[in-house]
Amino acid sequence: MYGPRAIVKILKPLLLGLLVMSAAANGARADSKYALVFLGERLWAGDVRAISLGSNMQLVEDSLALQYNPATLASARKFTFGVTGYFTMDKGKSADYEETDASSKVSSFVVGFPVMSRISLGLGYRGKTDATANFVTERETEDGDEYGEFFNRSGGLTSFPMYAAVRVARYLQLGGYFSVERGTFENRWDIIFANPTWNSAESTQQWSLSGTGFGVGVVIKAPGGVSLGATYDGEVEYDTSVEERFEVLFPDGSTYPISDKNYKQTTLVPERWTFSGAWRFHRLFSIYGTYSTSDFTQFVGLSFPQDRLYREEMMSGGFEYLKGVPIAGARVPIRVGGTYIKQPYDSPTGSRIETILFEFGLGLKLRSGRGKIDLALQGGTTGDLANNLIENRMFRVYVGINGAEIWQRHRKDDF
Amino acid sequence: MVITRSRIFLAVLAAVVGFLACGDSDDTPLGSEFIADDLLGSKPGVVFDDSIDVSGDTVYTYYPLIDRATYLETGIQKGYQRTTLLRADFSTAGADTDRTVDTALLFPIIIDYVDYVNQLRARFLQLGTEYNEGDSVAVLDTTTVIPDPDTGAKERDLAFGTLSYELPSALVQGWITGDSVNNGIAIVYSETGDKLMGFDSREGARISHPRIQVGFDDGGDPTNYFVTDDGFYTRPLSSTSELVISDGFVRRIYFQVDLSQVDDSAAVHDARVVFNFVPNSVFGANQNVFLYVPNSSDPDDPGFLVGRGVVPRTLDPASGVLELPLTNVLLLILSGEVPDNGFVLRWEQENIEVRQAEFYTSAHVSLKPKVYITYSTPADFEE
Repeated sequence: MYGPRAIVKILKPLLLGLLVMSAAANGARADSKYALVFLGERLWAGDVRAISLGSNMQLVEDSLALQYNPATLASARKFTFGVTGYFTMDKGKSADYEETDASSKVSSFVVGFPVMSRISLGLGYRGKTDATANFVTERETEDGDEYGEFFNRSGGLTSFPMYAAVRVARYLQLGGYFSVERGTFENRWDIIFANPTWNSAESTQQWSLSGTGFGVGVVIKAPGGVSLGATYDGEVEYDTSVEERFEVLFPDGSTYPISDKNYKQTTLVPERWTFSGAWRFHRLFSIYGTYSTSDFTQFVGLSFPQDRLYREEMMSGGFEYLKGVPIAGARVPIRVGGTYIKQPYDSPTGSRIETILFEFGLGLKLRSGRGKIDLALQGGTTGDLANNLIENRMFRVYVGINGAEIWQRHRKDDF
Repeated sequence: MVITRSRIFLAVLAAVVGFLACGDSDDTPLGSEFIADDLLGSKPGVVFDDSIDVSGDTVYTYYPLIDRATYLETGIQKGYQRTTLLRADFSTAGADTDRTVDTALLFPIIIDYVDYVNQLRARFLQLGTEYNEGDSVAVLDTTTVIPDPDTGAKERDLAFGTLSYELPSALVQGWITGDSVNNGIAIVYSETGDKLMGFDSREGARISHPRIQVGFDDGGDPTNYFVTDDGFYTRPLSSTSELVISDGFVRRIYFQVDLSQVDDSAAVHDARVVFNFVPNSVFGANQNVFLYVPNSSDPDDPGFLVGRGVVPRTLDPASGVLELPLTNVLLLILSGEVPDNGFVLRWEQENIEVRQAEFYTSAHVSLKPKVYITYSTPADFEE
């Protein structure tokens, strides 16, 4: 483990790197072309250690890890915070085109704190989906005037959960959350001519979603190093305001509104069940598994055709070598994982879309146990050329920083 | 090499920065495949390229004179005849009303200028209707010739260097006493060929203002009665069936654009109207024209004469066409912000010189005026 000085020494270049990476990455660019459709691309906004063990892993025995399953918060022994960010490069490919985009994001920030001997509370921000992507089609009028049809999509879903968890017994933790759910999706079409003196046209449709959610979770610690967990995320009904407008953009940058339309809808994101298991079968080794499903045929909203929706299924598995390997004078645990997702919508060909991810991770922990830095590398594909017309290959680097400090109340385990 | 913690992180950072910095490639149509089956939830607007024949193109004529220029003209040039009108003010005659006129001399100061001839034959005619500066004169109303009192000749040989021309003393006596109606004098060109003579106007230097100098038989000082109302009346010698804007004889071109085939909610990217010049039909020093949307489509309504300016342009006859941008005004017409009253093309400033430009009308198959418009409809968003 590393001492505080070493962590500070490590954090310096890391923070510098964050700044440089933020500048290098164009935030408006896409993560993946699959962000163009439906709710956008799923964000992995959990603990980075858990991500490296299978992107959707929800049951890692780690008092500093603030995971999706609210019951895991009961493990927090001190005031704990965790922030996760990632840097991504996606290469999209079709039969005719290839495009590479890069961007960076902070996907979650969560704090947790014990308030009573067995009870912990928490709150934070978790990105749920990212719908940022674009494309441009170059065209020509009958008279030979060149113009581009630009489509930009941005936004996504975000959750602001408030957690409560209780350690009922040594082997049982329960948790729940209430969340304020927000979302925006902006679809924008621009028609821009090559002649800079010509007017451009912009059509914008903006969906503003507002709702509340709730969920519950349980963690059971069975004998023999086995842990089992389950999470239920309730259906979220969003009040949705839709604003459409059409305007002319003059060459000097000013605009002229032509038409607008406002209406309200309801967006319904269906419930989700997640089941996780972990087995520390040796002092130095653990294996993990998670299955998650949500029936998106129950989804309503965003103008997405109902007959193109399916049940989403996710399976993740991971392996962790706790003793790890010696790097720079300390032992660093090694984590590997894999994730398979059957996406809840299909491709233009009508074929289902599959995502396959592989993860690799390292962790650095403060000697005092008050902090950690996790790094996860994630690579994989969504869709394939033969079946889905578009294939997205991605490579992501996740960085998670977690810290803990005694704050008012220090958890005293009475078990 | 020793692997240190800092080096590990720096290596990772370098890799991440490297792929982020080099990661973005040019945008492509990749992703447009999702438009199919409404997976994207929207479709782009459609871009149209249309050409629309102008309709209702016609010429309206107005009858103000060129009355603010520092010169007056009589004669014929480039197919337009000019007639100088002068009216002196005798309202200040006072004691002269009791005096007897002995001589009356008209001083129209002839200009020696390259555009003008030094000699020209003309007649002085009395006006049948009083001319006041600023008046519109649809038809020149002249009554009797004012002959040379010395020779009785109706024709006057005007020449540079001759400062004054005699008027009948009885006629001027009547103007002074008020016994005769003083409507003014017209100096009418009486030859046939192209000749043009210029006179200084009352807008010029005072020393050369046109005037009537009256001498009396009492041997006293003569009195100068200055011209207070002057201008020159201009008419084309032949008519044209083409579209014409002219000055002196003010004509404006009116036309309409039928936008019924264009979606009201369209965004206009570019639009222009193109007129084809009639060859060799353009003359005049000042070639600035101006297009406006009249406040009224009724040519008899005063609102037809004024409106919302669209664009000024300088004519370029060598190009063969006059192209006037209509992009934003058509956008405003489609949205209802500007009334669809048609368009009027006129000289940017009128009544400053005799000039004209002719364009082919919509009766011509290939040379008719046309509006070229590129517009797009809004994107189609699924609800």
